Amino acid sequence: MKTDTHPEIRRYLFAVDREAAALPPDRRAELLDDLAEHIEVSLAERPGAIPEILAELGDPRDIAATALQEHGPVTPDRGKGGNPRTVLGLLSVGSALTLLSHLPDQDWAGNLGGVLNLLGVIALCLNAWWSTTRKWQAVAALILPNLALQGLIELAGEGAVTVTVGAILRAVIRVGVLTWLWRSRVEPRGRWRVPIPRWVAVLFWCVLGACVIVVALGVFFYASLSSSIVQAP
Amino acid sequence: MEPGKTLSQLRKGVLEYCVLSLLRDGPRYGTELLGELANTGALATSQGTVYPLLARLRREELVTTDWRESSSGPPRRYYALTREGQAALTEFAPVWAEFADAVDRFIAPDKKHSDRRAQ
Repeated sequence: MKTDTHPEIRRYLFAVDREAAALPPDRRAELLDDLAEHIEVSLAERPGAIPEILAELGDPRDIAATALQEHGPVTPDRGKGGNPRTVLGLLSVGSALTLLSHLPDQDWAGNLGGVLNLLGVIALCLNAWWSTTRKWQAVAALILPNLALQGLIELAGEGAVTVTVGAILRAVIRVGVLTWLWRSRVEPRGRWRVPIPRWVAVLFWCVLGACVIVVALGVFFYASLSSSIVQAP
Repeated sequence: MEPGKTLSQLRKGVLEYCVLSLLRDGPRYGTELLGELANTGALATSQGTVYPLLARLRREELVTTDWRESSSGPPRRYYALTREGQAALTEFAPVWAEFADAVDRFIAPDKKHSDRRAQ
């Protein structure tokens, strides 16, 4: 947008953004859009009158204060864009169980941990608190060091010492990755849509449709089969 | 209380009805609306503070907006009254008349109310 390019306008909008920091992100974005639009239209009507236009708009603090009053005491919608605690909770418990499964006779922990980790990764992918790049980095950091360690342990031979050292390293790396993930979360701005590519959605509905058809056909054939058996003398 | 603050307190409750009234005769775009408000004097306010109000009116569906191309410059967002907005305005008219009456009676006790009306 043209209004973004002029430093004076940018400073003004930035000041409003800063003063309105207590507003929920979508409301703040809405306010900034409205103001940017006003400036753009005014500028088209009065070219070059940037100082006057900004002076008429008024003090960014007043605008932010009015916006906060209009918004009222409604608390920001924390549910939008997913909850980062869910992601971290699933991954933490999953990781702990996976580590536990390296002890003898604890296979159940490995299975449950695997499921929780998988759910955690899915929740991470659907969450708006991390950028796509961060998500890739996180998934890589959750998988690759483990594989590397597994390889090293097999090279060194599975002695008691190597297994113990491996387990400690695993735990340390996992704690590090999860801490980094938690600290790199950023509250999402604006409306969040789950970033599912169109082809995935199409594939999903196709598979679902195919399943429904198969089940329906199965039920139909089963019903006709059992009725023909009953009719047989 | 300083006069400026009194005025802004008074404005707070009625500004939205003034905005709705400005839309009674048809859709207007943002800067046009603000210009009209500024022309009235007492309702003149720093223009930016009207946008949070407009946003609320949109959310409460008292107004709708649509973008229209302009012969000069960028497209403008036009605000129009909805049926709810019209109803809110109709409801407010007698409330305001009664309120202004009551305040008048306090502020100007020496004058007969009917005189003030006649002026």
